[in-house]
Amino acid sequence: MAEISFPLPDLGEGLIEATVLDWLVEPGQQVERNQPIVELETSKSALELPSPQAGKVVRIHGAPGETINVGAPLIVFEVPDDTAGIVGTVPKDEAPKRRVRLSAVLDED
Amino acid sequence: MSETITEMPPVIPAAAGIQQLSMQQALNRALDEVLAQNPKTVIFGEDCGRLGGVFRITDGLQAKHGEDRVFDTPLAESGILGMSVGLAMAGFHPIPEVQFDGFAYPAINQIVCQIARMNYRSRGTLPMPITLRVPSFGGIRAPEHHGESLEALFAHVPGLKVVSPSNPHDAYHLLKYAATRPDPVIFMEPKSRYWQKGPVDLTPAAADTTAPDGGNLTGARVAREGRHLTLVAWGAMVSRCLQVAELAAEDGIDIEVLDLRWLKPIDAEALARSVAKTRRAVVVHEAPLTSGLGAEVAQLITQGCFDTLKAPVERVTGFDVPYPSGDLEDEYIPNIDRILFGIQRVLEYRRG
Amino acid sequence: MMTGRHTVEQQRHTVEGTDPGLFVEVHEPASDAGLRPVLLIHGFSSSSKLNWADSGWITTLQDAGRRVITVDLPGHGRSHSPEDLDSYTPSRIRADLLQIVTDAGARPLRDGDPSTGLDVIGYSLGSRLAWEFGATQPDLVHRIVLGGPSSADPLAAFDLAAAQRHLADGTPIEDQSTAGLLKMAQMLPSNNLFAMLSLIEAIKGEPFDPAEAAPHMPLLLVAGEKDERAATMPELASLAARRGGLVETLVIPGRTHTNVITSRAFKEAAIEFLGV
Repeated sequence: MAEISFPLPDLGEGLIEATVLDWLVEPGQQVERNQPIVELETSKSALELPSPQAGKVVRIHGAPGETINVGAPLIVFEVPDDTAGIVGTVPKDEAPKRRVRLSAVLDED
Repeated sequence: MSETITEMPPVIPAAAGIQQLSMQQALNRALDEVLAQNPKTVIFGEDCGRLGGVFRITDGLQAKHGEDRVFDTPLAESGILGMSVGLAMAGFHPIPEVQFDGFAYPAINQIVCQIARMNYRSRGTLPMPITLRVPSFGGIRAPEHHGESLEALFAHVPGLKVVSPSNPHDAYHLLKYAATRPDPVIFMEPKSRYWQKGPVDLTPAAADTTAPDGGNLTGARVAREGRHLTLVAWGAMVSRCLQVAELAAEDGIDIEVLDLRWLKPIDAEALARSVAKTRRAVVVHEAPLTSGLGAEVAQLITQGCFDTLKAPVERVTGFDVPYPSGDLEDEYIPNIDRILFGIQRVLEYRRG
Repeated sequence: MMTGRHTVEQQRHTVEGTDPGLFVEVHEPASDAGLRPVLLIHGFSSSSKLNWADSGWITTLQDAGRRVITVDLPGHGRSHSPEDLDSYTPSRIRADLLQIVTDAGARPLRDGDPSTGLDVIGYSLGSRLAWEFGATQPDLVHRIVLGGPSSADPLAAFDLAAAQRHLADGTPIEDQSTAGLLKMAQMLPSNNLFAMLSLIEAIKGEPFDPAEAAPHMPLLLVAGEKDERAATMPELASLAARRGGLVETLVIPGRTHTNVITSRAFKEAAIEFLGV
């Protein structure tokens, strides 16, 4: 197993930090990609952050009321070692299947 | 007739220096060693630094070698390759990464008009020692732009060398070799083979890169010997062709698999040597048929073996359509049955 | 304007003769619950993206099988900032909303057909518009959720002259509410300040008078416990209750006018309230 850490992403509009309102996931929980993981408040609005990754939550950073800077650690996931990159899936090595049979008279002339 | 076949476990040589590594790990290790050996090498690309690459190929390298030598770039391939030109002019050996094959298109101007011909244009005063890593080909069910086979496009450009390893051992040695060349090398990594482990002989003797011809690092490699037909492939198609060869053996057909490895220059002698023996050839690639590298391979075989060929060289390839996204991938990439059909067509061919 | 073929068929209507250039999106659910569409109306100096998308409302409603219509108010989000003041008047906005939901497929309520009618969720200024929209469209609107609602109208009390002086030469604004609202409008670089002030000027011409026309359909009023702007929510609730309709209220502990919007309890209450 490997751990992947995600920082608080750039929230746009020149924002440099956000305050945690509520975590919607907890360590040990299996989350899907795009599942909302945390409610955050910025100086301009409140928002829900979707999970950038499917995996098991290992750690979360920031209790409700605490402020996190953009770029600082937010959440850590545990993922299998053979997890693909940001897109795609790891191909499975399966036993080859065939429908075609070969037939030939190999005249060794 | 009865015969007892004792199935042997795969033999992993216990010799020192041989490790079971995935291609990811092998490439990572090669880059680590290249950085340690040559202080002029720099690695950069989208997510190459802090994240360690979306395929983990540069994992840990920034922490170990510093942010000056392994770093992230903006999402602009023209900039990544443009910067490589400048760095090469300034005496560095850049090892840029284009995160996915399809992202190379925005940098075609830099690759074709600058990197490939700067040495020629400057009469040899500005060589371009650039090793461009391109995670390539399909097989991981990725969306559009994330699975392309650009070897024919790159191979057509004078000044570029193109290589694609098919296993962890070759990946390790070919990348180290490419990263010490004075010329630009397009290093096409078969992304569907990143995760499978295989033995890698890490001893320097396994690949004598100091030999003038690169030791056993140039040219093609016979991946499996056979008598009746040669399958020519590269990248991810090599392992598929090895599977096909096993299946063909059940039908009494003994197939040789030639891993081309270098797609520019192509090892014409190895092609001729193999097909002179087997007298039949099928070339397999993921890229579309028309003007694909299979045509070049077929011509080289024909030229070398015209007198003894028993059938025209067959091509089993992708179709002349845009590389489809994940759901249609199995229909597009040559599968075992399509390759077997190609073999059957060659076997059935009769002159006259 | 509709946003092209990925949402619904392009509609080119003008209401009252001019095109206010409102940005509309229709968000289809993966699995339709067969209920009427939900119109979302955002607050002052916000947008459909900030108020409803980033806060998770659109996906939550879609997950509940609801078809969602969002619209950016004039001068907000991706809508145009018309020159004419008339485009910003609440009455004109209500007329535009009616045209938009009709174009998006909302049809008058028919007994026994849960796909007819329209549910509305408003927030802050959007609650004021939803209140009036419900009161004036009883044949269309089925239920309303009002977030951060107020019986008062802070925008109508806005000191426009002081704001313009402040923008011209930096003269401090005495009125705290005016200063706060202007700061809010200036905070988003994407906001068109001229349009924000036009909207305020138009609202001053048609200030909110909740007693003048109160909706009769069931209402859910929701505010954060620390929402000072919604301190008058009980007055609105009793006003609506006197009309005889079903009125429910919900106070979310610990939340303010800014941050109640992401609250799960708010979303779950709204979905349950509208899911009939």
